[in-house]
Amino acid sequence: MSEFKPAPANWWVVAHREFRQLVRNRAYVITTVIGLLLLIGLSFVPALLDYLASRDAANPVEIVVVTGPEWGTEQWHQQMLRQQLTEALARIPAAFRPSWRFITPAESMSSTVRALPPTADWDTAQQQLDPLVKEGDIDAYLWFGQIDGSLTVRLTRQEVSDTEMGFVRAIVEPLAAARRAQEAGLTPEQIIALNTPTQVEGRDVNPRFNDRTQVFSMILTYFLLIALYMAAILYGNMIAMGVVQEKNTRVVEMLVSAARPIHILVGKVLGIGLAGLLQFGIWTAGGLIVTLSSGRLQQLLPLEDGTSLLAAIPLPILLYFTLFFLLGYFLYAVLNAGLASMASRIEEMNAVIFPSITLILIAYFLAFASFTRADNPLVVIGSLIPFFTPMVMFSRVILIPVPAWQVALSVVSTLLTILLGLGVSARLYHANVLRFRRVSWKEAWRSLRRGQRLPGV
Amino acid sequence: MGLAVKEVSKSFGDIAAVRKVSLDIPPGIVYGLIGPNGAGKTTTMRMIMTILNPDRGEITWKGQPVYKVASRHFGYLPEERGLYPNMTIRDQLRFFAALHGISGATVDREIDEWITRLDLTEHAGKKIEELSKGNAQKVQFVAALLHHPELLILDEPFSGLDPVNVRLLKSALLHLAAGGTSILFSTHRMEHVEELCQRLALIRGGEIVAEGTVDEVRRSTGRMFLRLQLDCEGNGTAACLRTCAGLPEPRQIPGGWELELPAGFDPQQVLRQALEAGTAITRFEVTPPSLEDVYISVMGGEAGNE
Repeated sequence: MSEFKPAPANWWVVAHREFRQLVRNRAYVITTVIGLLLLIGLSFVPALLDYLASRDAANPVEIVVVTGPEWGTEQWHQQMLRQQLTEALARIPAAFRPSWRFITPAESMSSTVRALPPTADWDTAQQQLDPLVKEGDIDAYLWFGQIDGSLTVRLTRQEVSDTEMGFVRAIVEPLAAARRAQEAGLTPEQIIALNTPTQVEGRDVNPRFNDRTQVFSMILTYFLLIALYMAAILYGNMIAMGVVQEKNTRVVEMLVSAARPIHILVGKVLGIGLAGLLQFGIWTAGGLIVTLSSGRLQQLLPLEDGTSLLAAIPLPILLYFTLFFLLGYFLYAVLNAGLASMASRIEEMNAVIFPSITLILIAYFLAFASFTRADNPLVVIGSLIPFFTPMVMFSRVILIPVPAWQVALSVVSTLLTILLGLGVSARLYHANVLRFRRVSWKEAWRSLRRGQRLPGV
Repeated sequence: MGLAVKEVSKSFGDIAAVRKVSLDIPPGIVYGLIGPNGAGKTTTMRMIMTILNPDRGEITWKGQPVYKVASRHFGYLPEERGLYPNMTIRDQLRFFAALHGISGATVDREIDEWITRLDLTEHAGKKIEELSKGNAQKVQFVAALLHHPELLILDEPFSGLDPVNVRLLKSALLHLAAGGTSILFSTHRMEHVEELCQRLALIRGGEIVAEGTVDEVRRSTGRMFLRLQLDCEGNGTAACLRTCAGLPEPRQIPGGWELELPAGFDPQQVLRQALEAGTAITRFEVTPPSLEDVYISVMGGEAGNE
C-alpha cells in the first residue's frame, strides 16, 4: 500500500488535466491550424499586392489625347500636350500614381483612331471614339477643347471613377493654368514662376521615431492589441466554460472534496493559460518562419539592408507584449473563474461573466483612444487602473515614452489585483459551486461579505 | 478514536439544515446515516468532507481537524453523481487518484483490479458519456477509493443501481471494511443497513433522533413485540390470546401472529398462561420492532416527502 508514488501538488494535477483536455480538443486543434494558415496567408498578401501592381504596370490604361481645333492644329501640339501630361503624371508619388499611359492618336493601335484628323471638335471626337471605347478597342480618351467659350477637358472611359477624376484634375489644372497665362500674354519665365509649387513641410520634434518606425509601431501595436483582446476573451471564455461544465456535470463535488477551491482555480487558470501560450507560440513561430523564409519582411519593415529580423521587431515591444499578455490573461481568467461559478448551465454563462467582458471592452477602447492621443488624461488614468493596464499601458508604453514609475506601478498593482482576485474568486467559487442553479448577484455578494474565512478555503 | 462530529450546526438562510448533530464513528466500522431526503444527511457529509463549513461545532478525525486530513484520507461519493463526460475511465480514475495525492504503476494496477471486481472490463477504454448511469456510478465509486482512504463517505451509494450492481457494490464495501476502511454511508433502504452496518444514526429534520448498533436502535423506542404461534384445543392463536387479559388484537404475519406488548406487560405471563392451559406453543418470540418499523414510527409524517 505504501508503494504509491506521491502525485504532484493537486493544483498541478488540475492544470495538467486542463492542458491535456484542451490541446486534444478538436476545436483547439482546428483554431490553431486555421490561425496558422491565416498567418501564412497574410504573409503572402504583400507579395500578392506587388504582383497585382506589377501586372497593372505592365498593362497600363492607354489614354488617347485628342484636342479640339482651338488647341492648335499641328501634330506637334498634340505631342507636346501628351508630353506635358506624361510629365505631370510622373510628378504624382509612385505609391498613389495610377497606371496610365498618354498617347497621341497617331500612336494608337487602332486604325480608326490613327485615321482621326489632327484635331477633332467634341462632336466628331465623340462620334468617332465613343463606339471604340464601348467596344473596348481603346481604353479611354481625353479630349481638350473649348465648349461655349470655356476650356473643357473630358475623360471618357467605360466607367469613370471619382478617384480617376481627381487625378485628371491634378494633372490638367496646372496645364490649363499655364495655357491661360500664355493666352494672357505672360512670358515663359512668369509662367514658370506662377507654377512653382509651394513647399509644404511637416516637422517632428520627438526624436524617438521617424515616420516609418512610427507607422510601423502603430501597426504592430494595433495587431498586438487585437491579440491581447482575443486572448482575454477567448481564453477567459474557456475558463468560464470549464467551470460551468463541471457544475453542469456535477463532477465539481468530487473536485472540491479532493482539492481546495483556490488550488482548483490556480490549476485551471494555469492549464488553460499554458495551452493558450502554446497556441500563440505556434502562431508566432509559424508566422516568423514563413516571413523569414520568404524574405518579405525585409521589404515591409523599415530595415537597413542586412539587419536581422529580431532587430526589426524591437525587443522591448516583444517583452512588453509577453508581460501584458500574461498579466491580462491571468487577471481576466481569475475573474471569469470566480464569476462563472454563479452559473450552472452554459446558457447562463454570458450573463454572469458580463462584468469581466465589460472591463475587457473598456480596456480595448481606451487602448484605441491612445492611438489618437497617447497622453490623453483618460488613457493615462486608465493605464494605471489594474483592470485596464494590460491593454492600455501596453499601447501607451509602445507609442510614447512612459515614466518608469508608472509602468512599475501599473504592473505591481495588476499583480496584486490578480492575487486579490484569486482570493475573491476562490471564495465565490467555494460559496457557489454547489448551488446548482443561477446564483443571483445579491446572493453572491452576501456570500462574499459573510466572509467564510475558514481554513478550508 | 475515529470521526468525531461535535454539536455541528449549519443553516442556509433561514433553513436550519443540520442542528447540533453529534456523531461518534469508531475507526474500522461501517456506519449508516439513515433518514429521508432533506434530513441533513448530505449537508452533514459535505461538512465532514470540508466542502461546507459548519456554522458551529467541530469535526475531527483521529483528533485532527478534518480540513487537514479530508483530501488525503477521506474518499467521497457525492449524491449528485458526475464525472468528466469526455474522459476515458482510466484517465478519469488516474486523475482523481492524483488529485488525492497518489500516482504511479501501483495505481494503474489497482485501477485494473477494481475494473475487474466491478465488472467494468468491457468498458475500460470507453469515455464516461458512453456508459450507462449505473456503470458511471461504479466508476465514480472507484474514483472515491483509489487513494486508500481511511474513511470512505458514500452518499446514497445504492440509489439507481440494479440488483446485480447493488450486490457487486455491497461485496466491494464488505471487502473494503474487511481491509480496515471505515465507511460512512447514507441510505433510506433498511435492508442495506441491516446487512452492512455495525452502527447507525437516524436523522430527521437536521437532528439525530436515534444512534447506536442496529439492535440498540431497534430497542431505542422502548416498544416490544410478541410473535407467537399457539394451538389450544383446535382454536387458533387469536382465540387463545383473547383469554389473556390486557392484550391488543394480534395481526397475522408469516409463520404466526404478532402483537405489540403494552408498556409494563410481562410477556412471560402469556407463556405461563398458555402452559397452564396445556396449549401447544410452536413459536414464542419477544422482539423489538424491526428497523423499518422504527424508521417509520420515528420519521412519522416526514417519511412521505421522499
